[in-house]
Amino acid sequence: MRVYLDHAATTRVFDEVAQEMVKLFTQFYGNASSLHSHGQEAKKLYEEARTKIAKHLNVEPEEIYFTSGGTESDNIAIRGFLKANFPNGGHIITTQIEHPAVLEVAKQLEREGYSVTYLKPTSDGYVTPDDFRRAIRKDTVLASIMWVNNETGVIQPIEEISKIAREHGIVLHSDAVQAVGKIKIDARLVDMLSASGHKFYAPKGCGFLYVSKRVKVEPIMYGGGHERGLRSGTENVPGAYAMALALEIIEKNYEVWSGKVKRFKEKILSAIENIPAHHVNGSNTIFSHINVSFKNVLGETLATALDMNGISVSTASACSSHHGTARSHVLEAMQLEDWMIDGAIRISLGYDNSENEIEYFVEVLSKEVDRLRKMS
Amino acid sequence: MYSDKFKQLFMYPKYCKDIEYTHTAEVVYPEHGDKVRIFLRIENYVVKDVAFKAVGCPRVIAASEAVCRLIDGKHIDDVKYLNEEHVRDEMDFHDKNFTCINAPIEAVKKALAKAL
Repeated sequence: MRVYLDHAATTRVFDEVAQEMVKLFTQFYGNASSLHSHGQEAKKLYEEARTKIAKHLNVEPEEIYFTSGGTESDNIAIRGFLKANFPNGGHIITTQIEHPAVLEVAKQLEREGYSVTYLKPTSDGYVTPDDFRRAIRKDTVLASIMWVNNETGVIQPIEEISKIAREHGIVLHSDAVQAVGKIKIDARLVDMLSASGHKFYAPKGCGFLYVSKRVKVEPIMYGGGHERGLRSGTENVPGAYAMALALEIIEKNYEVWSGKVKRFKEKILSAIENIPAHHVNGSNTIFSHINVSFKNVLGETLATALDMNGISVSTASACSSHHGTARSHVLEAMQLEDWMIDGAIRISLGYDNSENEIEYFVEVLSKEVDRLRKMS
Repeated sequence: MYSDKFKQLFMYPKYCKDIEYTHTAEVVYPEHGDKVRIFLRIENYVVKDVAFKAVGCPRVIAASEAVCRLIDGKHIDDVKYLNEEHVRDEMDFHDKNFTCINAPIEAVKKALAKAL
């Protein structure tokens, strides 16, 4: 049996989405910027997708910009905002647990003369609104706080942080790549929000950025002036269409599917409870994520053993090469014990998992932890 | 992707067992989180039985099993010449960036040093 439990890495494109995309590739292939009917047909589908996505996030269609994915959205949001408003420097607040698409941008900005505060999470994996408030300076111009952490699944207190940011007139961006399609989001809580299609059953290579009308952002690359000048590049109509359709399908089935995934998570957690010497990393986690460590078993080793049983999970800490072990920056920031950092695996469930798959997984998990521990 | 040979070594190790040993040694690579202990029963300069215990990455576990397979029943003069290439061939694993597979080889040499 093959079981895919790495939906935080990427998801399988919904069958219906893939089928519809084929139509777009073969029938509605016009360039959405062309004025002829082929182009305008494509343009219509493209704008419909924008409207649907905007509705899903409770914002206006003019506030949605299509991009190639999460990394590009994060870069445009952060760099584009600073370029438009604070080209000569300023203070930025982010967290130590961001995805590299934000963290590496922040590090680069430091090299360019900006000042950055990286908020430390609690040992439960979230940053606190109090710490956010304390980090604010007179010259703070931007904050970038992820909605849900990709490794632990911990939901960050965006609502409280949003209130504080608004009180201080700080523009707030959120990398919501792990949240969109999983939890209901009111994007108006933030000023900019990034999402990636392949995390919610649309294909790789498409994403979007929400930018509130109140916020001015400049492009970071130049070309034909697509997406109202913010993101040049021929419109990816099938990608945009796929994202809108995938979100529509999720919305339609949300109660049933999210309920099913929650049940699966509980089942896995209760199986984990029966395995001695483990630690579930993070609290207040999204219903699809479990990050867990087992003492005396390296995460990479357990993930490999599961893989050899046909089960795909992921691990952030792995023996990379002669440089030694590459450790999870997220779990390190949470200051967990060494065995919890080195032993962590991430199980991320999806709407397409089945009861049989979960039963098989829990059986193999406990068997493999036991087998690997007996080797020690 | 690991080879079938590697999978066999990692998933179905025969030498991860308890034996009555005459010599043993442990090697730890703390920066990798790897720890290997090799147990040898040497009689008349021949490895009559061998076993390992390991906490580590998949490569260390597979390498430990491979080392045991390679030296079981061998004269200790032959075991002295055991090297990384022999183990890589036995594992069908040739990525030289991973030096962790040397841990069980070092453990064997260390245990053997006490026998010579």
